[in-house]
Amino acid sequence: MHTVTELTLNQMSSLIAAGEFSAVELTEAHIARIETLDPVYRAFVYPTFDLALEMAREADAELAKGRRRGSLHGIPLALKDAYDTSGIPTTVCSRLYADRVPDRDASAWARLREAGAILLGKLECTELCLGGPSKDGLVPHALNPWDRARYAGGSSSGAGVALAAGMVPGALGSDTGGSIRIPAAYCGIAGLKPTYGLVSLYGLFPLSGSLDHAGPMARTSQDCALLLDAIAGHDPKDPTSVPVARSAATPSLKEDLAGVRIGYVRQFAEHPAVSEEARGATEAALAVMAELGADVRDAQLPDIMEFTICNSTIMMTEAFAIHGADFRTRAAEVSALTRARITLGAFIRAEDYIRAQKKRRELARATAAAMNEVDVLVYPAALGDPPELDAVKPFYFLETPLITAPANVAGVPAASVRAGISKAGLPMGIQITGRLFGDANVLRVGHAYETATPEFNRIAGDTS
Amino acid sequence: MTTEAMFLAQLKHIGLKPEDHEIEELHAAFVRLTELFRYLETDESRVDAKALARFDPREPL
Repeated sequence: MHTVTELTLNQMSSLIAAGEFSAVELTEAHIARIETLDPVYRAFVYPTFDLALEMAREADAELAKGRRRGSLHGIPLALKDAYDTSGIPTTVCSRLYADRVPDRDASAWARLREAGAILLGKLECTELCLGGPSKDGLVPHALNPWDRARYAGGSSSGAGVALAAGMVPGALGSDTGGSIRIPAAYCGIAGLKPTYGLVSLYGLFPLSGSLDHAGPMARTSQDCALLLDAIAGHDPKDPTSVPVARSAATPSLKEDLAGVRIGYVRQFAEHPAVSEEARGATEAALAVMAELGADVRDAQLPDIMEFTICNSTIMMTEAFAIHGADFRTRAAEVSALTRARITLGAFIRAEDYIRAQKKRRELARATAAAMNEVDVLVYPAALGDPPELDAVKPFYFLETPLITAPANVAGVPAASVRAGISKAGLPMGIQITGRLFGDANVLRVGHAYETATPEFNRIAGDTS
Repeated sequence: MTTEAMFLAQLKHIGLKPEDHEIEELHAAFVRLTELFRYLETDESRVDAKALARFDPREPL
């Protein structure tokens, strides 16, 4: 027997549309779930329950008058604490911004709100969207509901945790080097980093302006599509927003993959840093996709370390450009992991930053060429099981590849989708990468695969 | 090779306070990163105008 909080966002939407649940009832059920679980898992930094109930009552009143704004009408959601919310603290979980209360809404949130969504609260993220599971930050880091001793992934960690534990059916995260897809993989959910320029960055606290992406997180690709359709589109307030015509992702979702060409990036999966289990889960997922009608073949991308160092060089340089002034006077207030990573950006010469940007163009062209013959690329979403909390080091990306970096560097859409359970009982994920503005194709492949493997659906978390 | 002493001098020059940072760890990361800059090599000419990093608002990146 499912409780309502275990349903998908699309199922909740149908129940509200059919009048079987009110927005208030749905919101109250989620608040109860959060009040039970969040003292243990710490996903929420600023719950907004009073506001949520007020918004839910308004949503129900509109429904009573026959006005339904769309599929998100009356659906409770939550936001990474990097999205500006007018009148509600937005601190990026940092002491540097502990008192920050914006007077504007981020465009992505404004679009969700206009679509009838309800705000349950702000979600924990690693400090300034770059740190790790720090013990010395402004707020305690969220705990992975699959195993509290393991990292939930970052930087959209609170979103991953809240979704995996059924505290919220949908959320917005942000992704500069993998910050949506890593927590999605470590928490066993779905997350999409959209095409660069597809979703407005206005009001999203920046980490690295040329690599930042705003995007949806949910328990399924279908739910991500619903959220993406609400938040995508040109925004004149964001200079990186691209004015392209696009079709909605939701109508293109199908349960078969007939005619879809999938490139397996074997060289990423066979990198020595990738576990045998992660590679096996990816190849098992590809076998399912082939059974669904996909044409699966090998595809080649440049060395993963080229993407990793290109991404890291640009990210750290741009991050220090944002935070350098504070770091000269207040660095001691920043948690150790975040402080170390951002400070390293101070030592990158302009010459090397420019080289990284030139390299980025070369890698983007190579990615586009690799996709000439296929619709999507597939490779693991993580190197292996989520690491133990104490094993997360500040400069891990200087030793092992960042397998989520290629899509940030190339600007192409990429999703992480759950792909089974490891021997240690932890979630595994695959990554599906598409062509520029091929976000719908990415979600189509994810949806078909998820539909064919319902045995991997699971709500995690208990209070014992 | 940038020695730790040179690195510390540079940190101070930037205006950062040494007491706020794990200098040894940061210096080791810097040395490692500069080794890894080899992955940024490209085949492009450094002086060909077509290969220069120029702002092009028509491109998605």
